[in-house]
Amino acid sequence: MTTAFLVGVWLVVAMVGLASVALFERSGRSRARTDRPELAPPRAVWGGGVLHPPSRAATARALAGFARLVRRRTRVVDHRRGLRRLSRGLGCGALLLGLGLLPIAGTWGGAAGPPLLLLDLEGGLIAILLVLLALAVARIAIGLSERSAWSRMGAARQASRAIAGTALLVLSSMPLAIDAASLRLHDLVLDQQRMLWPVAGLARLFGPDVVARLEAWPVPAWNLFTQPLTAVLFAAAISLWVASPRADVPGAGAVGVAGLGLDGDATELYWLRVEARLASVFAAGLFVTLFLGAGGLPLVDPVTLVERAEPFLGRGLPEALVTLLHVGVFAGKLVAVLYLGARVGRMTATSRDDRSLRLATRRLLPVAWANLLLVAAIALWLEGLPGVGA
Amino acid sequence: MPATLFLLTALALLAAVPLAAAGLRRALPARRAEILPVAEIEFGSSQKARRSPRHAVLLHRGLLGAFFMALVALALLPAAVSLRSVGVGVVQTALWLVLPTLLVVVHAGRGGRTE
Repeated sequence: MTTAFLVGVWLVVAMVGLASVALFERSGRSRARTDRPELAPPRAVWGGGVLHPPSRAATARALAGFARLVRRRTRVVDHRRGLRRLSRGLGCGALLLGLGLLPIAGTWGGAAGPPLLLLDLEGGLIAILLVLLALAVARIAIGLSERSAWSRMGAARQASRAIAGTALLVLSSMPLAIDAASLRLHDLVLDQQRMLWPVAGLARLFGPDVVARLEAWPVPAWNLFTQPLTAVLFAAAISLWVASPRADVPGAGAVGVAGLGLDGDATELYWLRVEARLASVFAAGLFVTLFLGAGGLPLVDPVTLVERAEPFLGRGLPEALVTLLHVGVFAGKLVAVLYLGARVGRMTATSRDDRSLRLATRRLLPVAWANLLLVAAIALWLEGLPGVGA
Repeated sequence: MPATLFLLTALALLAAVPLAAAGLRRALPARRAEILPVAEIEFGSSQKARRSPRHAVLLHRGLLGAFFMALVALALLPAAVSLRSVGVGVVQTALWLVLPTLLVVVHAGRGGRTE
């Protein structure tokens, strides 16, 4: 029963994330710019006009996409098909395993207890790094499975991004591990549910009444607020890992010069899109887990909610509802992060790879080291303060 | 066990669409595909194509720097694993490793800017 519930929850959240990414890609691609009407997509034939492209014809579009998949496949003689299939399986499998590591459901009823997790690992952050490495290896292998020079350039782009992303990802996730004194993802989430220490310190000055009132309305110490610089660095690092060196740019609808998937085969394009979207969902879920307190709501204590509902509904139903609320809040935060990511991606220019690399090594890495020092120093200082240290 | 079940179910759901398409394709009548010879890709002989590969040199330089930095960063992982057993006090010792590394990185950045 618990296994089926957990698998169902994870599947629903993953599907919601995938559908959201597809929606945001499409809306970004077909958004009409009022200042440049000549760039608007020519879709009047299919729908109700330029401003309303055929979003109402979603079923027709899905059928058209399926019909493209049914058409005869493009087979290029010197492609290594076995390597491609293996790489697709490795990439998608690694990402799904990474999704399984995320604490989407919290604990039963929000109480202190064993976490509801598909995969609970002590070294969760290291497992995340391994998942990303597997993804990078899979993408590089796909690029090398084709003899096209452009695809091999795509593989080289992915390799350079992975190498630059490794140091930045480690340095931007270490401050979180130092703060929570653990690498386990569930512990990192629990660490964010403590009260914000400056608020707790201030409340202590005003007496026990104020402390009790604040405990009833908890202000969580989400890492986005306690370590904003770490959040920015982490976003840059994970975008280096997740951005796919594919030939088509989904948000803009353009076709890049170098990348994977240039042979025009609809099935390959399907897997390319699935993997790229899964990677976006995984990255957004990781950000929600590490910086937005997973499914926790500010100013709401789940245990209090259950206790207040207990006289009317008993214990089981409120606990189940609170667990589902946690899942719903996680999904909501996931969609919000994906939307923000799509908007930022649409607003910012696509950087050339050597420039991204230069930015990461020359600018972001020194900032990441300095941030690590700062967080370590603050952790040491807080350790010395009575009643505040971890 | 739940993770394996999730992995297999999700992979089966994702593969269902192309598998259904493949099944339908097999059921439909089709002519034998023609083999199209494709010309080799050429990079051209324009002035732009023949110039010095500056981007590639920059990329290679950045890659080397990033590779060595990744090695240093990965060395931090075992330290982070031992955080729970040793406690936050170990951070004080780790600062002696991090501080010189930061100085070297900042100095390298300054050197790169003055090139």
